[in-house]
Amino acid sequence: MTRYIFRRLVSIIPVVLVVSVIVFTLIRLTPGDPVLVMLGEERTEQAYQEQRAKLGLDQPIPVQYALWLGRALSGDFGRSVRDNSPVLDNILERLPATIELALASLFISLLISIPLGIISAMKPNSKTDAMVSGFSLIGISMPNFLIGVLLILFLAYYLRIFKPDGYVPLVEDVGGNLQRLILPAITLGLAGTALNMRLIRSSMLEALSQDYIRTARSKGLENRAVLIRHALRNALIPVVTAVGIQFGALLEGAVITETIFSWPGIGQLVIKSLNSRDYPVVQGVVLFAAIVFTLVNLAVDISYVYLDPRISYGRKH
Amino acid sequence: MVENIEQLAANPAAQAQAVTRFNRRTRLWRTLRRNPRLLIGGLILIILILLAVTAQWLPLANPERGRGSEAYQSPSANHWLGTDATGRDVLARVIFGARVSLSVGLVAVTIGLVVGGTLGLVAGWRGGWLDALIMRIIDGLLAFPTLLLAISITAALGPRLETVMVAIGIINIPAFTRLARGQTLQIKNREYIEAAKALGLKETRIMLRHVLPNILNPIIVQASLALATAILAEASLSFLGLGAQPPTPTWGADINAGRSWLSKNYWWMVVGPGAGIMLTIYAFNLLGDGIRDLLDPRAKTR
Repeated sequence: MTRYIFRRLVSIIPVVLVVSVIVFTLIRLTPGDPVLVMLGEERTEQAYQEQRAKLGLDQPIPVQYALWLGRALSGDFGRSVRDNSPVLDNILERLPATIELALASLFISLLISIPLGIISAMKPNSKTDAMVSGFSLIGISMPNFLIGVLLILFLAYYLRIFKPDGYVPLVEDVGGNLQRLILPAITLGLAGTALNMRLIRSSMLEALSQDYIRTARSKGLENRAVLIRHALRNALIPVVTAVGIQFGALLEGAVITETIFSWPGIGQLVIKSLNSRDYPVVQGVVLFAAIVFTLVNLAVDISYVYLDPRISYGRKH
Repeated sequence: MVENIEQLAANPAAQAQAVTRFNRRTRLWRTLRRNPRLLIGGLILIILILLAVTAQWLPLANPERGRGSEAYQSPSANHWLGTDATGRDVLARVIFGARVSLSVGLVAVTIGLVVGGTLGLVAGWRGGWLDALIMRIIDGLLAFPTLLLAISITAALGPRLETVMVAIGIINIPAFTRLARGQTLQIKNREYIEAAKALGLKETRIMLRHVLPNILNPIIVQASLALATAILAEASLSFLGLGAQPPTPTWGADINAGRSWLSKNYWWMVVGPGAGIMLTIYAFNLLGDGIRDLLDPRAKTR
C-alpha cells in the first residue's frame, strides 16, 4: 500500500518534467522581452545588461531552463508584467473563488446526473432512456459559453430571477454570494452533467448485471435497497475517476464561465492577463493548473484503494 | 454506360454491372436506415458543408461589412436572423462562420490524427525506450487542461486562424497516440504480421500496409468525435478573442460580441451563431456514434 503510493508519487516526476519543458518552450516562444518590460521607459544599456544577467537570460537555453525550473519548484512562477507582483500570489488570491465555483458546479452536475443516470439504467432502451440519452447528446454539443449566455438571457434579463454577474465574497454576504453563484455554477456544471449521466448509466447497467445483484434480489430485498445499497455503491467507483478528470475540465471551463459572469477566479485572471499581454501570468497559471491536475489525478488513483477493497495494490500474485 | 433496356439485354457484362450498382445502392440505403444517427448526422453535415462551400454564391449580404442604418434589427424578411451592432446580416455571418469552424476542425483533427497516429503506431510497434519516451511526452501533454494549453499556445504564437488550427491540432495528439499504440500492441503479434516479417518485408512497409489498415476503424471513430470537440474548442477560443480576428465571421466571437446586447433583449445576435455551433457539434457527435455502431457493432451504445 505505502509502496504503491510511493510508486505513484515517483511516476509523476517525468510528467512534471515534460510539463515544465512544454511551458518553458511556450514562454520562450511568447513575444516580448521581459527585461524591457521590467525596466520600463527609463533604461540604460548597463541596467539592461545587469537585469538580463540577473534573470539568467544571458545564459545558454538549457541553463536558463534549469534556472527557471529551480525557481518554479521553489514556488517562484515569475512576475506579472503589469505590476511586478509574484504570479503565485495572484493565483492564490483568486483560488478560493474558483474552488467555490468548481465545487458548486460539481454538486449541481451530480445532483442532476445521478438520478437521471439511474432512471435510464433501470429501463434500458425504453422511451425514458432514449429521452435521457438524447438530452445528454444535446448537452455534450452545447459549449458552456452558450449555456451561460442563454441562462443570462432567460433567467437574468427575461425573468429577472438571478443577477447576471458580479461577486460578493462568501464571508461577507452569504445570500448575495449564493445568488450570484447559481448561474455560473449551472453553466459550468451542465457541461459535465451529460458525460456523468452517460457514465453513471453504463456503470449502473454493468453493476446491475452482476451476480450479487441477483443474490440481493433473491434475498427478497426491496428494489430501492438493491439499487442504492448494492448497485449504486459499486457503480460510483468509475464516477470518482471521471470527477477527478473533470476537475481539469472544470478549471478550463472556469476560464470561460468566470469571464462571462465576472467571477474573480483564476479563469478570469488568465483572460485579463491575456488581454493586457501579461504573458508570464498566463504561463504561470497554465503551469499551476497542470501541476494541480496531475496531483488531483494522483489523489484519485490513491483514493481507489479505499473505495474499492477488491483492488489490491500489493505485489503481483 | 447502358443507354436502354435492349442494349442491356444484349450485354451480360453491363447487366452484371447494373445489378452490382443496384445492390450497392440498396445496401447503402439499408445500412443508413438501420443506423438513424449516421443518416441524420450525415445529412446535417452535408447541408452544412454545402452551405459553407457555396456561401459566396448564395444570395447573402456581405458578412464583413454592414450598413450602420440597419443595425440592431430583429429578424425580418430582409434579415432572417436580424442584424448585429454594425448592421451586418447575422444569417450571412452564421453561414460564412461555418467555413471557419469546419476548416479549423478539419485541419486540427488532421494534424492530431497524422502526428498522433504516427507516434502511436511507432511507439506500439517499436516498444522499448522509444515507446517510453513518446508515452512520457504524451502523459505530459495530457497533464494540461486542454483549453488552457490551447490558450497558452495561441498566446505564444499570436492569435490567428492558423495558430488556432495548430493549437487545437496539438491538443488532439494524445488521444490518437494512445489509441493507435493500444491497437498496434494488440495486433502486432498476430499471425499475418508474423508472416509479413517472415517474408522479409521492410518495417515501414509492414507498418503502413499491414498494421495501419487493421487499426484504422477505431481511429476513424475517434476522428469523427474529435471533430466535434475541435469545433467546440475553436468556438471557445474565438469566444475569448483568440481565434480568427475581426471582421472575419466566427461563431464564438459573434456570440461574445452579441452578449453585451443581451440586456437590451437583442437575443438574435447570440441565437444565430449559437444554433450554428450546436447543430454542427451535434451532427458530428451523431455521426461519430453512428460510425462506431457501423464499424464496431460490438461496442454498440447500449
